Amino acid sequence: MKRLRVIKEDSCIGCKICALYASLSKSDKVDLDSSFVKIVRDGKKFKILLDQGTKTDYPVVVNSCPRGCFDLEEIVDTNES
Amino acid sequence: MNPKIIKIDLTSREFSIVSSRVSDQYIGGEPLAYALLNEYLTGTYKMQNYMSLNTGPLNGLFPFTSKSLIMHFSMGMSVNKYIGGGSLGSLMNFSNVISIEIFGESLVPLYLDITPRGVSFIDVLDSFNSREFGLTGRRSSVLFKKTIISDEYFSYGVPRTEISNNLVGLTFSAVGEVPIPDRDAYWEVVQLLNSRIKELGVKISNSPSCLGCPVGCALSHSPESGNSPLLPRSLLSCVYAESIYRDIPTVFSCFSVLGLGYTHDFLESFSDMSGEMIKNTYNKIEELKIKNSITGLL
Repeated sequence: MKRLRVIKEDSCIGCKICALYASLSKSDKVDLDSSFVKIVRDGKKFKILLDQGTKTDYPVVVNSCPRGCFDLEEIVDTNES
Repeated sequence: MNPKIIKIDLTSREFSIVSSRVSDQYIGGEPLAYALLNEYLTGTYKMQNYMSLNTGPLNGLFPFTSKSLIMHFSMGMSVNKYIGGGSLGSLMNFSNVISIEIFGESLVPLYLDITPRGVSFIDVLDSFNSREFGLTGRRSSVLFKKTIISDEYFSYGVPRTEISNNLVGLTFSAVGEVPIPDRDAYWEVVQLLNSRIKELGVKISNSPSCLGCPVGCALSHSPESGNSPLLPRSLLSCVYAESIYRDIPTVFSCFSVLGLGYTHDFLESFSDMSGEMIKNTYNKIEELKIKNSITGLL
């Protein structure tokens, strides 16, 4: 089982392409409200907020980031053991 | 679904949200801003401040189309256009709002908190902080200071005439969704456009980027002059991507994957038709100047 992980938040340029693709991965719509990625400005930098309460392991979101801010991490599903 | 226009009267503190077909003919951006000004001069015109904030239908959905245009028609009857980057244009487009028109003036300094559902009029007091407004992750702010600036970084330039409507600034928050009828076709077009990144006249950098743009160029904060051809000006694409968005087959592909019905023939005739309307708008302004100088209003 995998989930989206932020690995290089400092590299974020605030383009929000990840947020667009996150919403588009789940539906045939661009909708920033329902996106599981939110980008907010934090002074001169950006913060990447992830909603892990939903499925996030979409490679298209990882690949959409022009600065490589994400990867997919393996997680152990404790319900299986 | 027709795009919406939010009309805001600063004098009476009232607003209305109307559905408009003006984008059928003028797409968006600068031609649409002129068409709305033309409509205003023809219909309800009275001597007052007029401003519009405009976007285009591709804004934020395709790379290098993330600008927005602020048009100001002053009491002295001059038209000034200011183009800048950031996220305002894209967030408006995601909310199906093609333009925000602002009329009149407030008696006291005023800030607007805007969503596609309504407008709040906020008196600017000493404790005012524009960061308190808007929805997290989908807000854009514009401040009218010595320069017009959005998202605390992207400049639209220094106002060439005084904007004397007492509007300190505004926040726009996106609410709504853009349906993508064929997701795979959409991604294919986006990838094709991204592969043309070398055609841009700017280098990839790590500066704050306009929404939907992967470049993050060092010039993203600079205002644009708006001297490109009318088709890219209707899309509010980046000036450095002019070669991409003046190409009719490329633009037609973008419209097609979004299910927008602009035909190839329409795009071919677009510049002539829009150019004629813009000329007509300036003629109207000249007529009004003459009329007002006779009646002593100017």
